[in-house]
Amino acid sequence: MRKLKLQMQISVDGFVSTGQNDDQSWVTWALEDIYDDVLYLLNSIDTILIGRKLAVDYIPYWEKTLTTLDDPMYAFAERIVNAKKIVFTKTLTELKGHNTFLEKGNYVDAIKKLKREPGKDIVVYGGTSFVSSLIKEKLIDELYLYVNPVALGKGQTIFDNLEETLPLNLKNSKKYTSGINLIVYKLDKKELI
Amino acid sequence: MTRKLKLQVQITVNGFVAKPGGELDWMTWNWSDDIKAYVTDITNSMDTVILGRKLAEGFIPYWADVKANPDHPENEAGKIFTDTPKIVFSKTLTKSLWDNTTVVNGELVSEIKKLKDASGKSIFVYGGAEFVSSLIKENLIDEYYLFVNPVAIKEGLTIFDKIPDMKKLDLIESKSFDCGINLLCYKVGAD
Repeated sequence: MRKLKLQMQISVDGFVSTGQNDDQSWVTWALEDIYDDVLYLLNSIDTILIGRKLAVDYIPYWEKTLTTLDDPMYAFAERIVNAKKIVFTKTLTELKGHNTFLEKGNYVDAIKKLKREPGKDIVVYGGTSFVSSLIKEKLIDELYLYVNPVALGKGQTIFDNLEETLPLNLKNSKKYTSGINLIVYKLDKKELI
Repeated sequence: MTRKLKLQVQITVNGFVAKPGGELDWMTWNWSDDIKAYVTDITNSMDTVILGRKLAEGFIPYWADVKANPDHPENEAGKIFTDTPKIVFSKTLTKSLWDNTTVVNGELVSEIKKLKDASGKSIFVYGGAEFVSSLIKENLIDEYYLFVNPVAIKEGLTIFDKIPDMKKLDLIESKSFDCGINLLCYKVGAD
């Protein structure tokens, strides 16, 4: 079965955004530091899940990046634009984008079905409320958390929908010179599917 | 060269140090040998413990009992925490109820600065959440030893809830332990 991986930037105190619009101005911008690991994850996937709120900015952003050969994130854009992107929405009827599909049904069923299909792994990068739902429903198999060297004090979190304590298995940890620390966890999948 | 105030705390992946009622049932209790050795090592670098009054009421008698029981697996830690001079910050206590313990009623910032200016090894603080939160707000902590436990909980007590703005930190060390805890050690960043 395919794995669903989550990759997010997170603060030392567990926030993924300071405001309502997934504000990321607090994130340490050190592309050269994390480049190889971000690309490595992108090479392991062929499908990207996106919440509607993030998708409307995310999809055009990467298509634009792909038009600029010397963009430092060109290799990311290449993979993101070509990956199958599934946007979960109850409201949108159309969203333009290469290899982009809308999923209007029950996201739990849709994701379980996707995971059973053949192919490479699946990744989700956000948005916050969509990821929060996925964690609550125990759909995520691996967490790639880039812990930024900053405390925010308040903001949005991806664990606020938890109904019980969520045990995690530490798989890997990596310190970068910029002060970012990647922590990778596997989730216990006892009761899933 | 003033003494450093170091925070050592167990924290969830999503930044909580206790459940809303203070429960610690989410913590990894079966520490592997590597984390035991690491904590013993950093504990040897301190000669003073400061505590908020609420934590002191549990912490001090607990470790005194552990010290009194030679068969207790944490007997060595019991000796260290009982024998190390402790300073309890309180607005209500007028005198110490415990051995090796001084009660301070004065203003937090000036009292901590006085402590740091005295000679000696490092000063450690372990909690509680509200006390640590005040220390962080006043920018009094020099090094953060955050032992990130492999768990997320829905809600709880946090130590960064009083900061007026985002607080930059410098990562000085990251270390994984066999029991799944990952230490993130920070010093205060240049603002």
